Amino acid sequence: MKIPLSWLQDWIPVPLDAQDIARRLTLAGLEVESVDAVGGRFRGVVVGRILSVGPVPGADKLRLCRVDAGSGEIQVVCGAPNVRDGILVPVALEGAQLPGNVKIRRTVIRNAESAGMICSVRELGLGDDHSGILVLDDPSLRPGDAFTDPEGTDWVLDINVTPNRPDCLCVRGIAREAALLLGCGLRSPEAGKPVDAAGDAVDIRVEDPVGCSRYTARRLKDVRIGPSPEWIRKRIEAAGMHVVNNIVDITNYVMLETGQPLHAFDADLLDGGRIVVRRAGALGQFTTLDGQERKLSAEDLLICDGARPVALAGIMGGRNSEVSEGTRRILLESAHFDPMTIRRTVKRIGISSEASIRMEKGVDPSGTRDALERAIAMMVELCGGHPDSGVTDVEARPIRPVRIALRPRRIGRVLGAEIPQADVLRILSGLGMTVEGTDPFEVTVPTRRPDVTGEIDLIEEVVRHFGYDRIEPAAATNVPTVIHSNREDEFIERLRDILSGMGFTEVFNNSMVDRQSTDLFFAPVPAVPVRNPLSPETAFLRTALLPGLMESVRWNQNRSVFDLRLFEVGHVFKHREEGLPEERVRIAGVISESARQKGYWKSRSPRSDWYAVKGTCEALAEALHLKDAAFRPSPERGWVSGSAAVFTSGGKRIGTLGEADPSVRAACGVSERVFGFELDASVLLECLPQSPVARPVPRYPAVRRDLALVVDAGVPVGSIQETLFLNGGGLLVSADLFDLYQGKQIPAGRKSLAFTLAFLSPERTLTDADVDPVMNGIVRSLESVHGASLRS
Amino acid sequence: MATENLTGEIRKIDEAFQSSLAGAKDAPSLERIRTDFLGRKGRIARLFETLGEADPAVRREAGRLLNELKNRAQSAVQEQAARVSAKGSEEDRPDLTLPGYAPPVGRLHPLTIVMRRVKSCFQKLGFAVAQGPEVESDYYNFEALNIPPDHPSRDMQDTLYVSDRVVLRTHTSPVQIRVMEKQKPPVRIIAPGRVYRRDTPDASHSPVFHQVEGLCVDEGVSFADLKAVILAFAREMFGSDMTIRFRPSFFPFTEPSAEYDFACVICRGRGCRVCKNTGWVEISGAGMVNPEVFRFAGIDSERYTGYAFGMGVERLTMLLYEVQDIRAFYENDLRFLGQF
Ligand SMILES: [Zn+2]
Repeated sequence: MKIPLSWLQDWIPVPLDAQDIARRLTLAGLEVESVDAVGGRFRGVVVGRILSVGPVPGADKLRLCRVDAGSGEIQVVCGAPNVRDGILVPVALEGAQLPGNVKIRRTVIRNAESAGMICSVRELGLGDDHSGILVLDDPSLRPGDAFTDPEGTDWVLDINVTPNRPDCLCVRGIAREAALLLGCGLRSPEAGKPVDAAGDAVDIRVEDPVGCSRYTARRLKDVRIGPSPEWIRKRIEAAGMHVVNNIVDITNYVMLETGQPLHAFDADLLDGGRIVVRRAGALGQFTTLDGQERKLSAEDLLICDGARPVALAGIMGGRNSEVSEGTRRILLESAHFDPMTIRRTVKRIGISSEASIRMEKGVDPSGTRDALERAIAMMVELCGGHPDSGVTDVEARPIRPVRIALRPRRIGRVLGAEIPQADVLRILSGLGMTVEGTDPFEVTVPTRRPDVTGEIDLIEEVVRHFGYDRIEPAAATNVPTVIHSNREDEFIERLRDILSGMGFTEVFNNSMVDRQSTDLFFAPVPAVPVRNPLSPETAFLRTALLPGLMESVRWNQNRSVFDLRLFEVGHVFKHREEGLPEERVRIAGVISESARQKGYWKSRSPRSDWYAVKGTCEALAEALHLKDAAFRPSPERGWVSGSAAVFTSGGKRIGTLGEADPSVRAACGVSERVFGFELDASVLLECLPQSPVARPVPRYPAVRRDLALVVDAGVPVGSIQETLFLNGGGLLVSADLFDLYQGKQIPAGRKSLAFTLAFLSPERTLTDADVDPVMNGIVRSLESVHGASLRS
Repeated sequence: MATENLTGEIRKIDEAFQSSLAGAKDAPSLERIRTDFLGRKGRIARLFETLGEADPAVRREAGRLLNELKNRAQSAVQEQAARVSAKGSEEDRPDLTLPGYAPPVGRLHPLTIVMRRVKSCFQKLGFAVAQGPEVESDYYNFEALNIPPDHPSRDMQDTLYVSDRVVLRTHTSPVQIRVMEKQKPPVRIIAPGRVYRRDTPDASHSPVFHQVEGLCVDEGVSFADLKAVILAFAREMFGSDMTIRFRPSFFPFTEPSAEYDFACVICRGRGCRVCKNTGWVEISGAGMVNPEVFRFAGIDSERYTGYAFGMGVERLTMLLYEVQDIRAFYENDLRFLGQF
């Protein structure tokens, strides 16, 4: 809501300062988002402090000034003799308007840049003095303050009114708050000459008292349509509305002042001169005065004449009864409509007006008559009208003020501070409430405050005007004696630490993706569609994390950032026929082919491959002490065939890993080979062993033996390790592969493997006599089961 | 052999050993000395062999001297070997300017770092972490928070819908209702998580962002407690001289409602572009839990009071690290992520 300060001043008996009242309103919950100067002989001038004065090469009379203009330091060229450092001066910044249609631009004078102009009295149009620049001697001025024309300048406050405060969508409402904040009364501006209320009634029939609780109207004759006087036009425009003609402008003026929307019909265009308020029912269409044809629904509330609709109630009038140049008789409507009814029509039709903005939040049902009379008085004075009827006021469904009990002790309990009774009474009565009794206070709330319905609303009103600042933070606050740990949350943070500790950098991707991304990896799942997405690129919820990681790879690789190890933790979604979608927390990672060991210059560091991602999963399993971690082939969409593996622990499926298929890479715009994994965090958590039970470390040393053998190239290393353990006589505790070789010295189709075996007994130190027979058994089995030959 | 001869011989060996050792600057020459003097065929061993021929008295005395020499020589060689290997030979000495073989360094996302700081701060104040689904029913996201259908306050947030009654949560407040339904007071939780709004992305808006919301319900909980907790949080995050400001505002689920501001972290309250010269930056909303919300959650609002507060993790992160554009958090450019 935009309000000119001068208009507010009409209602406040003490002089207002724009910045001061803006601050006070903001601290009372009416946030002033901006304070802008309008009018005056110049605009865009601020107070600046000259920081230093230096020469301009090649120009004796010019000086180069560094100026603090509040928002930063600027450089200005100035030719005035009285310029010196330390003084405060008016600086016209780029874009400023000065008298004589002078517009200030950034210029270059004698090769020196000048970002604005330091002004003389004459340049500002304030007088004739042009002997030097104007030196400001008001010590309260600060660099950056607006410097305004003392004459003709008005200020416009842009106030962000929260949706619960329709009473503040008008000058009077803001003025009421301001008066209470300033501790002064509210004064009423000249209301115009009272107009004789006598005359015939207007024919009004309210058929729907739910939709229309009150309808007040009066006819005027002999009006002359023309432009409004300057002062009305200025205020309406300052408030952000358009001027139309004197009658319409007055309806808008009174709405801006009182909050009550008014509508003027051309009375001669109303069939039978009648007003009927009803629901649209079967009436199909209606043309609003903006020329748009509106399709009606049965529930829409309409103002009709004797034959047809003439207005969408509370939203917009009709073309068929619009006030135009030839209008001589008008019917002025001031009504209260049901907010919810108006809101539904607004939402459905997608139409909104200054009137509907107020109507759908709730205007004061007691205010229709005052607003009508104010407008009539202005119209009689300014449009030459004469009453053609009396004021007709139909209260179809009276709305009475509510009474609320307010317990003084409750105020202290909610706020944690005692508010003196005198303050409570001052604030409530300042807001127009009447208070009876003391414990509890019996408070009668004016009908303009539909938001105040209970005791807590009154407490809020009290503290709002008492000042949130004046409630001291509690010195101590209660401490719970039960600790609710969140095991899953802690576990996820631990996974983040493990992955980042292994060199992975965490990324955050949008959870809303395009259709294709829901379909790249894993068995297809029904994706959750977003019904009103911002774009098709964000029309579904992600079903996997890997497509987002592929996007992160693409982003970096396109900017020549390679060597990527990325991970992400987040929710994935699956549509369900009943209830909310299924959500799971996943953790996924990718390694790009170019990810290498850093600083490994001794010999060329190998490119990353599938084993890098498997090793990551193995390291994760080891870090978490997972039991029986295993990797089994499992065809899975998105991975290169043969590279896809499922990662299990204790038979539970944790997730999969593999190399991204070239077709997936192409779809994601990724040129490098990428290896990835995606795991289910809750399954991982389920696989987590119980808290460890410490066992003593082995008392006897292990015996180590190296074993080198040659087998067919197709024999999986895992099957050899199985054979090793099967024949380890219970003494073999580890069998680590330390070399794999194919090529020279090895027959074609064969490979050489070398293991370090460790044998250990918990009971004694093992000797060769213990280990030799076991080794022999192992070698025999390898020969017979795998066709292995020993290398010496 | 006479004693003198033997003793002289031992002294000769000793002298020869000392001078050889002094010249031994590397491992191979030390090894040579070890073989020459201390080896199985070395000079000391050979002299021991000759001892058998000497008469017993001479043998005893010379044996003692020779053993002494042997021990001394052994430890001298060991010491010198340690010295030599520590110093390294010319070709073994590292080039200190060559890069080391570094394990890859991963980093946490800045939002994770800040989210953890926020969580840790409130956990120290006794709040537990609670979570809920990102796709929510209209009931938990709106109705139970006193935002009925067709109510103007629905316009305060632009909502993404999955169906008529299912939304992408616009705040993490639904978690508060879910917790209050299950757990009777005292309740003291924070709900961190991802939320969604139908906002076109620009430098300060992202359709996906993160919030931490807090809720405390107990007997005797007041607005003064809320201010104390927010002040403690502000000081933990931005330093012990941080000041805060509460302004009245409106949220359907709290009453009284407030917006809370921190003193501008850039200009420390003197006024700058970030704070639009006000000296304050808006952080988020807070307030006392509306009795209507207690009614939905089945909590006696006469007996219990509570406060709730929110905050945007992106906003805090932008203030803490002076990030100019919220979109940077979701582009995942390593040159950005590597700075935290
Ligand atoms: Zn600032």
